[in-house]
Amino acid sequence: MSLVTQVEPVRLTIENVHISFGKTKVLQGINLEIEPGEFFAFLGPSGSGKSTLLRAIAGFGPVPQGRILIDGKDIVSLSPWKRDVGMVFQNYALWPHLTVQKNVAFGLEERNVARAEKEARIKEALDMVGLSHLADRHPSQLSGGQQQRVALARTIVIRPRLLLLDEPLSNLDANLRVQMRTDILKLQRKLGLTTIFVTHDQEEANTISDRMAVLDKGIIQQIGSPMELYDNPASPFVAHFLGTTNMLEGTVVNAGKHSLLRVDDDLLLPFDSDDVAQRGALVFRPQSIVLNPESPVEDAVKLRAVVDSREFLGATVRYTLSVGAVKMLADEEHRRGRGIYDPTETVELVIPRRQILFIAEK
Amino acid sequence: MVRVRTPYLIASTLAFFLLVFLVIPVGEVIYVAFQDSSTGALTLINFVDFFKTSLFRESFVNSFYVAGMSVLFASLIAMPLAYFTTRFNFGGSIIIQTLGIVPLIMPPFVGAVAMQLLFGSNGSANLLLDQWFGINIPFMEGLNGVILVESIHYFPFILINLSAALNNIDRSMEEAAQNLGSSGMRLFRRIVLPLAMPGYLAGASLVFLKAFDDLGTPLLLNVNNMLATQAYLRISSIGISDPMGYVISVILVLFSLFSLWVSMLASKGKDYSGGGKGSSGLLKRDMRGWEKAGAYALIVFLLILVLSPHISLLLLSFGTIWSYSVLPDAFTTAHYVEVISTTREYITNTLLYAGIAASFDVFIGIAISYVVLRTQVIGRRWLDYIATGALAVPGVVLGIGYLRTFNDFNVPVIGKPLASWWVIIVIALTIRRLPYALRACTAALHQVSNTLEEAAENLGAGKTATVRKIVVPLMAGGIVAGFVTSFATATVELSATLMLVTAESDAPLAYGIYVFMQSAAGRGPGAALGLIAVVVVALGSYLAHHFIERNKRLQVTSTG
Repeated sequence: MSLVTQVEPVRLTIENVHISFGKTKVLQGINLEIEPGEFFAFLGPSGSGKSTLLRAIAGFGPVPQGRILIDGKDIVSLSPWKRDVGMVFQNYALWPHLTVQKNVAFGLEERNVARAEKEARIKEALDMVGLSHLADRHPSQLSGGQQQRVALARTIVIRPRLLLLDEPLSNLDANLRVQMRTDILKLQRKLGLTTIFVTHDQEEANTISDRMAVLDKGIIQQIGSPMELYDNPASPFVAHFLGTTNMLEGTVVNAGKHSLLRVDDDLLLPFDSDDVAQRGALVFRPQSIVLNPESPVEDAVKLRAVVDSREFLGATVRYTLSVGAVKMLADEEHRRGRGIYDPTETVELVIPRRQILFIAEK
Repeated sequence: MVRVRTPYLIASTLAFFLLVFLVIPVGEVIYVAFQDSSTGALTLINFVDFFKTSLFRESFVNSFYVAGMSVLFASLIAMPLAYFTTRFNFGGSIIIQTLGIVPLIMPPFVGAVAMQLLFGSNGSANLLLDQWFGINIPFMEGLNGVILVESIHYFPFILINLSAALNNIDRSMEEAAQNLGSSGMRLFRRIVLPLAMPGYLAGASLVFLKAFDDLGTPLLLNVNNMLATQAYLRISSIGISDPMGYVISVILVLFSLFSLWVSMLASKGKDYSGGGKGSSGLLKRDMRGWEKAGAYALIVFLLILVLSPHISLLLLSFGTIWSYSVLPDAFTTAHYVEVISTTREYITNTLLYAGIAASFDVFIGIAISYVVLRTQVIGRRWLDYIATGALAVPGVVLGIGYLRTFNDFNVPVIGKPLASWWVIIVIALTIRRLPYALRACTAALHQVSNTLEEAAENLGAGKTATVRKIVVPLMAGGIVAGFVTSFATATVELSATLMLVTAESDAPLAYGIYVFMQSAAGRGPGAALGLIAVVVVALGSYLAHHFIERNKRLQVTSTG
């Protein structure tokens, strides 16, 4: 038997889950389907309810209304210790009075696994995270990254049906974070475990997850692959949360074909949408804008803009521009020797029409 | 729904225990105080009688006077010590911080008689004063003796709280004042003193409480016109139906509650600490040569004074005859041989009683702290409040309550009233020392992060297994510290014991000391017993400190 072969990936279904802390509604009608073997992320700002949802799957916190099903079986009334849902805690929650070996052994001992098998599985789990040589240390003698690996080993050794990761990278420094997220992804692919990952960092969610759910105020705002959500945000919140964006609100003029949005008295912008809403917003990313194009751009909106200020970010230079009274952000790729624009300079601002997304007001 | 029922079962067992052995006995005492002794009707007549009797009026005033003066003298000892250790870079600081808590390991009554031999009108100090200057100072006459003994023993409460407060003051507070042009005494008066005030008040009200409630010291110094002694004497000489003992008990409880309330208010209401930016404590400076000499002289003087009960107890326990002389005539170990060979049961009883009581205390302490911090049981905080409330019940009052409540309750099999069975002493010790163990357990459980328990449950451990394998081992340091503190202080508890001991063979050490110290011939053996008690308590306090520190280190490294 080996850890690698044993897991039959499960499907997780969340049906109409509501959770309240006293009078505060933390989750309001969550519906979600996570495919077997999928690496899924819950992404949202703090207070969005993402951790509460993860903890509810593990059986912690108030008992939720609604159903949480693993392969079709409701687990809501099961005690946490009967769920076989492995969770890696944000602060790792390693027991300081037990060695690495004993921490990892704990779950197996609770399951009365025979001695020989227990030792073999502990060794295998520690090998997988590359910590076999530290088995006799106490958690306090390990670095943050090593503690994280122990927490991971302690969880996968019980062969959980689901792997839950609660902001597992937030306590690590930047370099280690990048390293750990690739390691976690490799491990997940190897084990084929259905995995849920909670984070407030969109870059983390983008790089690691197959699909993600963006949460805000206890409601799932949108579900999809990272790129789908980035390119087609369904709401202003999602558009903003997944990266810097220009968002121009206004009234729709001439809905249907050749629609226009009146952003202010002097600015009317065209967009393509079947939506017949009265109000809405045009969304386009700063890197979609071209300033003073060298060759003509077809099918694009062309505007005259004045540079207000600029920020040098390394790979890009970010300009704040005024089109009349309307402010926009534009990112220009930076290379050595490339010229830059100065404040008060007037430039031609070009937005290709297919980069402009209309989001109707709800 | 097993998950919900178990906590309620535990909580109601705890509540039952506290109700029967704390709430009802104290309630009974209060009820009787308001009851007409012949008709049983509710009345204020007992209180009227109390204030009509000149002896009681005098006792009332005396208790206040003694408690107030004890606070004053304790402050005079503690303030310079606290100031020197926090203001100056000065080698004496460590000596003060260590020796400063020594008095706490010995309850005042133990050294009271020995202090008479040192400071009494025919004691060493006055013999020397008479020889050198021809004067005699009545250090130990009547109330003076009680005040001296109490303030020497309880000043550490002020020292500890005041030093902590001074050390917690954010340095930028003082720097800001200097920056705005203030300095010297003016800065001290306007900034430092107000900021340290809560710490001082917290300590001072504890000194007041202790001196006000103390029974053993005035009894041993033969000062009977105080409240606690009157309560004891009324009940032990007239009987448990005399209402005056109850009236005094109500007054004692009221003032204890009041000073505890002041103490908590002072230490909780105003947290002036700087939020952990690292630079807290006053600006320290080096002392000039003459300042240093003066400071050391003062400190040496205070420390000798502070250690005098221990020194005199030591001399008394090893001395042959000590009367009208500066030092005993000769030295001997006979007193130790005597107490160990003839009255060994005092020592074994004490170890047994204090051991059982302290075990119960940590057991109950763990249970209460767990119910309060980790469950949703409705009204769980009340367990904490009531158990902690035991601090406000003077031993005399608890003793009287037990006598009154359990005298008519015959224990099956044994065939005698619970009030005169030795087990009642153990229960009294358990209740009296529960707050210490509870506080230690609560602090320890606070340190155990919730997620450590969730991790265990997540990996398949149920509630019981989680408590056994994760929670209790992680609380171990705090539990041991709580046990040792409860044990050590139970060893020397006298006031409740005094009311409840019915047979000499059931009596613990503190009672033995009290009995021995009554007669001149018994002083030597009494002091020997006292010193044995001090050694037990000192060892206990050292161990408690050791385990607390060890636990802190474990917790600190585990979060890093």
